[in-house]
Amino acid sequence: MNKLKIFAYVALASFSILSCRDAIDIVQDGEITQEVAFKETSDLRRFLVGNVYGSINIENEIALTSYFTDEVAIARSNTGWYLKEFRYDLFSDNSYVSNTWISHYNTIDKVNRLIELSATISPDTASQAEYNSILSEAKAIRALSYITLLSYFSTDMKDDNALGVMLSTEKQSITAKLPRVANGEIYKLIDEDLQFAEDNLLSTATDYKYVTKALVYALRARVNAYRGIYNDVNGKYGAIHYAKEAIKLAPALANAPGTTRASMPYSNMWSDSVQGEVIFALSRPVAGSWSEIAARWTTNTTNLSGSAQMGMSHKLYSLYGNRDIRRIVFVDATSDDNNKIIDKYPGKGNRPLRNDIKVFRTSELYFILAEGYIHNGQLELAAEQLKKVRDARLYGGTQASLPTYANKVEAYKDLLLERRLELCFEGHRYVDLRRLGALAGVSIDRNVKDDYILSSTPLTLPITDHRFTYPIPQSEILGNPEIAKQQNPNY
Amino acid sequence: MSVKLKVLSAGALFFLGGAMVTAQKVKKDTLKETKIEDVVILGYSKTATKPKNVTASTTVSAEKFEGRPTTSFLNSLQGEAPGISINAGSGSPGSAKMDVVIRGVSSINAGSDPLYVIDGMISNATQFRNLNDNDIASASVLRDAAAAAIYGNRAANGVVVITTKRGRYNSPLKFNYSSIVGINTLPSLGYDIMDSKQLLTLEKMYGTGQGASLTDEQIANWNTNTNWRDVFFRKGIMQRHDLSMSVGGENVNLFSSVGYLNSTGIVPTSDFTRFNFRNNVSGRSSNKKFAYDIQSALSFSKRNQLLEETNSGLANNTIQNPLLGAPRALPYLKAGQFATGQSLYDAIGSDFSRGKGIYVLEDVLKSGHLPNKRTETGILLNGDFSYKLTDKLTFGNKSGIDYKYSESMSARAPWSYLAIVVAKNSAVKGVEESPYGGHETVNKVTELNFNSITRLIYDTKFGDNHSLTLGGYLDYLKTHYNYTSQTANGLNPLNWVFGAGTGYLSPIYKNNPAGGDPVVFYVPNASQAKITAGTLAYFATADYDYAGKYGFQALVRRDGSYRFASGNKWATFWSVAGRWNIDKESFMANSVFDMLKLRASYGIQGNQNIIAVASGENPLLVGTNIIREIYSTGLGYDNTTGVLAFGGLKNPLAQWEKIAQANIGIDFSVKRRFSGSIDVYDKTTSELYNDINLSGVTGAYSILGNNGKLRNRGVEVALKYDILKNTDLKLSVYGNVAYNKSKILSLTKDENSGSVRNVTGGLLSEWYAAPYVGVNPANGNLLFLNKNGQAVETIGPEDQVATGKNRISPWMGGFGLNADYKGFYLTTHFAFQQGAWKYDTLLYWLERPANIGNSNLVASQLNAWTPTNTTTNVPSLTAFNHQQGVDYSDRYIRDASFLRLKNLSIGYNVPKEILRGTAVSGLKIFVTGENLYTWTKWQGYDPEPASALSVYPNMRTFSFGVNVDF
Repeated sequence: MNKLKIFAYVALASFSILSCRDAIDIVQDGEITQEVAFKETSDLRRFLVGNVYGSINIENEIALTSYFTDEVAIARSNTGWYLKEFRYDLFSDNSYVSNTWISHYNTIDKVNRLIELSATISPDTASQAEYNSILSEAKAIRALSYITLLSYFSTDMKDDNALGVMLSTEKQSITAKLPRVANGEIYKLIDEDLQFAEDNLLSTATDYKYVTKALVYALRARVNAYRGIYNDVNGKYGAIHYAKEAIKLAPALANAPGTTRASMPYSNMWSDSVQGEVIFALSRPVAGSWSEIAARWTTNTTNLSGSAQMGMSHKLYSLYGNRDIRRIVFVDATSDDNNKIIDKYPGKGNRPLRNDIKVFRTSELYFILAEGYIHNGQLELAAEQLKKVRDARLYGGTQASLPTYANKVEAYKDLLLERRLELCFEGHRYVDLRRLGALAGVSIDRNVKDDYILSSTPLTLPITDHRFTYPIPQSEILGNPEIAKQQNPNY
Repeated sequence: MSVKLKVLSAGALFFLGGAMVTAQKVKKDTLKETKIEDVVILGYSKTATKPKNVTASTTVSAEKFEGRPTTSFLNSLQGEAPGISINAGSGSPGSAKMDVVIRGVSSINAGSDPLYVIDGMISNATQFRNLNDNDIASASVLRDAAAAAIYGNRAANGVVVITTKRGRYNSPLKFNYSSIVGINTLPSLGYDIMDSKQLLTLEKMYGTGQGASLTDEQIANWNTNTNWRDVFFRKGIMQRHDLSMSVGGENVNLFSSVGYLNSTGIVPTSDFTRFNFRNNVSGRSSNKKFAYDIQSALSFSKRNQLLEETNSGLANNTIQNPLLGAPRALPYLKAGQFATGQSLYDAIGSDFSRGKGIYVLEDVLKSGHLPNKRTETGILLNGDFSYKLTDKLTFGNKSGIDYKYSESMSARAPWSYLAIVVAKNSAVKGVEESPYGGHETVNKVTELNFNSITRLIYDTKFGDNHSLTLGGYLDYLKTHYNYTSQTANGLNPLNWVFGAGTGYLSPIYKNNPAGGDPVVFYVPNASQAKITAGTLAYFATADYDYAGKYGFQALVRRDGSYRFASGNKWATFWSVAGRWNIDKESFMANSVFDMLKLRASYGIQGNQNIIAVASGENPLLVGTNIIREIYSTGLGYDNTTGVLAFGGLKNPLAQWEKIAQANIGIDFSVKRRFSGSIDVYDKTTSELYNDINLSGVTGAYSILGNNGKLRNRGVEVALKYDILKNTDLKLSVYGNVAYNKSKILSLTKDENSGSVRNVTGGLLSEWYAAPYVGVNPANGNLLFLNKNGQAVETIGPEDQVATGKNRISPWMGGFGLNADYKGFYLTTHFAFQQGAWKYDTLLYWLERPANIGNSNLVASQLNAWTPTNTTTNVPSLTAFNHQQGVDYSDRYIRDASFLRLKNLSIGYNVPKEILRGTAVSGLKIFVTGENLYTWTKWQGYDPEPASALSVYPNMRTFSFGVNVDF
């Protein structure tokens, strides 16, 4: 009897333990594993569009460039935002620096993952071209991220032996700790990636919100210009060649016919109603919860009553000529003497702060050409390129005069001026100053009114200041302590 | 051995089921007269008499919870037991924000909330707004491993065991009615904020804002001087009524109660209402072999709250948080100028500058403009059944469900300013030129927790002096959670009514004549979530006693959690404990001690709630997948649907946090007048689950994983002395104090930036800052000590050094006095915390020169350094390095120590002789005050909340109450 009871208890106990396993063997509903997600080529495209394109983010650079250099002035409705960066505080804990670094490495990681996932899929003959084209787009995007990283973190982009950034070409384990490598190694990968894209991108890829052949050439022009390689060397093309190739494929400069704003393609390009001269823009559609670029400078709207934090620099504003369309397009009409409300991103539809983020426009190609010609001492050719852009920016049939330069320094100075006028709030000024500032004898150039609160804020910084190279972010050093030894000078 | 001691040992460790059977033999207790402090309530319904308790635990009895105008019993527990710190994070009526920590924060990222056990059922809740504190018979705080280990997988942070009131056998029908009515007020701020004339003068001095354009004479004649505190706050009223009944027959007894509580907050739009019903039934078979104990509780609560309560982003938002808005509002602006949202929009557009945001706050707080209502319905059912198979062997099961349905609704009314401004700014020419504004969101959550514990207990005595209890248990827990949310965007003011579903607009998609994307308006959102979670454990216990002189307890527990990968799913934890009742030794025969006991325990517990949750959330329901790398679908780039994205890095190696705790304690009682306990402990958490820094090349800067070791060491003392006893005047005092110090023993990588760092050898979350040393008399700039100890004007992150301070108080405790004279009584309770340092964000705002013209400042700024005022401790308003002082120095890290008169009650128990012959058998009237006075250097509203932002402070309450037995 007793034995029977004990047996019953044991049986009951073991039964209950077994039947209770449902409390700990739980996988939540709807989890998708890699095996389920990736079966054919079209799944790779889903990942490319879902994760690779979506990861591209250049807003951190655009924002910090504008605060730190000479693109903004403190608006009267400023409630304390961005003053730190505006007053040149730049340390390794700066969040824009940290976010620039992680955003691009995140994109690189997603591309690397896509490449790894692609190895698990064997495309049939029909989809081989699409398969290669997907990889082309991904690699071009990876190249864009590496170019951007180098342009902020490398100590000297023109020197292949100078310190670049970490080189990652495959999915990394969570214990990965990579050193910075020489620029040359990064350039090698960029060239390979862009070459692959050039060779394999489908000719149907023409949507400017995605990678196109024009973008691939444009990126090759940009990276070579940053390297100071303007001419063809040893059978490899330089910036001038690629800029010309890109111009052939890129949309024409958006000019400014007539006198009403609505009729000007250049104006409509900024409100995303036409492509204009955009070669590549990050799509930020009206619907959905996409980033709102204008919020980098204002709170509610891009007009005087929108609680702007930062307006356009009074110095920059003063540099636009009378018939310059950019004075009208980049500054909101409600602006007053103290507040030049930035309207380069005027919003669209019912999103007053959201616009596509323009990554590459045709005008930059002409600047690259001009830069190459200046480098070669072909100053008249350079002047012609700048005039092309200026002509397109003057409204009411006005033509710009052809500039004449006594020497290279003058020409570089004029190039930097035009780049500043044209590319403000697109994340170029900081890199332009560090690339060309010394050659042109130009540095940050503000108006006293830009910081109306503290007259003690300097109007410029020496072009040799260490803050013209980003610090390696503290967040990276925490996960990768050895890289601290490769910190940029004076941080 | 004396006879007295034999009686005591008869009340050996027992289980509640058994207790009901044997209770009559041991002692004829009545519910009201039970000396609950003589019994210690332990895990899984175990209880022990004080001499036999081997654990570090403290039981707080019902009278501490009765007659308090609080909405959660935790408010009443503060300072009552050593080693438990309770900080209300919000005084909003019915708030879930309560930071409860037992023996120091034992984790960096994981939850530090203790486990709550109500009537033997593990509760996954951390908020108790729906538990009527008048129903509580006792609350025990279990601190050491010996006490808490039995609860295994979620008890590593200590346990609070709550028992509710029961009826008793063979007792007549009795009723009790109690009622309290009180007034809540907002505590005052310690900052000396400026009036209109002062502020205008400062603005003139600084050259910005309204004052800059005024002459001295105009400033002197400025008439408006608005007290925004009076505009935004009121006195809240609270009332509660409770009626309970108890009765018992030969083999069944019953306790029932109904309660109603209503409290209006000090901000006009906040309030709280609660209804409770509870029914506790116990019974037994006539042969006393079978016993049951069933509790059922129903509750419903409703509250209207500030958005700030659940959206931490708003704590620092002046246009939605009156606690921050009021002190910063410009006093020279007039209140009440705008009757409607539309008139405000017409006046200011979307320009909040120059302090105009305060009008928006006025609009936000208008009744019905931004309603935010939460209701919660709870059903708690649990039953314990036990059957004595033999004299020595008892089989039992305790099962229960805890069901919660909550609904929260919030809206922006279409006529509110914020709705209007957003709508106007989204207007599209030629498409929707005056769009409808506003939105309404409804969230519904159901949560069902099922817990079942099956036990087999063997209880025996052998020889004259040996008693042994062995137990085997199986503990099963499963949680089912469902969440539904819907949002309507765009509301028609003609017929929209909050929560009625009327006035919703259909979405429109139209081409934009200006080109580009089509424009969409009024697109609704809907979402749904489902989570299943669970744990499973089996464990064995052994309790041995020799002659009431020596005791030994051991436990081993095998715990499984759904959270971890298969290799780490199960873990084994254990504890051992022993005691020596020194007073029972013959050499102590004539000593003054009627009890003197030495205890020691050691154990290792696991914590699987490794991700901290928002206040009031169930920690089992977060981190539902921390181990499996997955892909997600959703809206992709360029609004492409059906895309795939990587779901983020996961850590398949994640495992239990392990907490090892050693405890040595002494319990004593002298002449039954002076009693107390002293404990020292060392609690070490290893496998800390927190951020592991990664290189950005992985796509992320950090991943959660097990990394590091943290130690908490401390001492706890609790004392009670009955100064006068058995006289007309009865007087007793009590107090407790605890000291706890944290130290990080190891981490894979010390943090080396930021103001709050975890560094090996340092405190948990230690402040790192460069000392702020004052004003440079030469130019008015701020001076700091850099890392080399030199006074400099420019500092950076590398100059931040360890301060030896953190936000957690090392010292805390409470004390009080109880006096009684012929029915008149006085009780006081003080609580204190010492040594916490918090960042005074509000002071930073109030001293920030960049805010001049936009918000109010403290009057000290009038004395700022100028070339003609060089001997001052207020930096120049134009000093270039204010921001460095904020980011890198200790300028705003302030002492948040406090001593608080938590409760003061004065009352009168009407003597029984007077009541004789009436239906009333007992009558008490009393007045009581909560949070009456706080001694502190902290200048903000309240030093207590863990968040130093402008959160809803603990209110000061005065109330009047009556308690009738009949």
